[in-house]
Amino acid sequence: MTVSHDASGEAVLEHEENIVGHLHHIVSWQTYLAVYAALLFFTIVTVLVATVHLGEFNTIVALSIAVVKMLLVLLFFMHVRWSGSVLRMVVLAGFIWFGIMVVLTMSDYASRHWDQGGSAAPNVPGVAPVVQQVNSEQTNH
Amino acid sequence: MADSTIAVTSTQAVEVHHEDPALKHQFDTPEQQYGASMFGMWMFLSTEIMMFGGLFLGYIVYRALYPQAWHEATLHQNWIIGGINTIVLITSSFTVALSIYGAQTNKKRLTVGCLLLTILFAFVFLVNKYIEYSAHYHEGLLPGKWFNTTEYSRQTELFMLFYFVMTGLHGIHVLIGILILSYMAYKAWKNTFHSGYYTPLEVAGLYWHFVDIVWIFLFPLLYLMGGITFGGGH
Repeated sequence: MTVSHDASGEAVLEHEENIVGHLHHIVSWQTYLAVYAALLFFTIVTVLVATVHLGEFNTIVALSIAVVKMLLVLLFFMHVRWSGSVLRMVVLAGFIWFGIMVVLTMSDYASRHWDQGGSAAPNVPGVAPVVQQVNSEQTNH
Repeated sequence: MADSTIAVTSTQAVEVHHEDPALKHQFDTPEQQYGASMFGMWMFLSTEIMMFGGLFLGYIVYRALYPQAWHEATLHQNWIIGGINTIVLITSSFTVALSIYGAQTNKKRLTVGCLLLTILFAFVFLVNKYIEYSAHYHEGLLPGKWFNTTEYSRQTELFMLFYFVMTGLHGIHVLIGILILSYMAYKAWKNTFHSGYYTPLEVAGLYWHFVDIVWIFLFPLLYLMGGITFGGGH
């Protein structure tokens, strides 16, 4: 940190830029156009991948593409790429709390039926399993 | 000499404070005001992540419980309309981003024009949604007393419940977005925004991009999970 003798006012400004980002950072329309093209490209890719039967891998690919598209919108359209540390922390916090919610809930669902053979639910389509599910849970607890 | 320079700097800061009509009195600098707006908006968007997050979590849980039903229920969705709506929303995000660029570079017609285009895309999205909803209603896929239980399983009904609540909540966000963007277009038309001040426009843009991100996840989860075929109508 270099604090020059006549720059006390600028030092304050730089500090605020560091926590919230630049006030007047102009992103060029060419950048927006490139991001837009990338988003269209990934939309077409995600539709094309869905036409190929890959089993459970379809879900992984579709969600990965969605995450990439989200990052493009977040970083460029929503200017997070040029934002400061405090803003990035708020952005991250939202997703981290969502992650905690999903991971804790799914770890419960994935481990609750360990005494019934490790499966979260009987993989039988139709109406009956719903009733079975409720009954077995009531007798268990 | 050092003291005199600091004195001049602070005098200039006070002058800027009085000259800038967009700077509210509780803020020391435009930077501080801008930072507070961005921070507040992102806090709001975090609560939005948690609100939609609860629905996404419910979707994930029941997909893990009933993978077969979830797979088949996706086949009842019209992925072509869903795909068109994805492109429509992405394009509207692009035009909102351009409207902010227009404000930053003092291009008023670009700002207003892009905002009006965005509103138009939002209406196109809602019209497509209406076409889909009415098709679901006529096919007996609307949960409740309208649901065709002889043709579809109860788990399909559960999926459709998630579909209607998630796309419905998203649709309400699109509606609110139309109101916000209309107000922004009006403000832009009235010369409120310029290269030195466009914070409301940027905040509105953040909201609209968030609505776009929600749809980016809803599209694969609700339309593509069961796999699709060209020409098959699924």
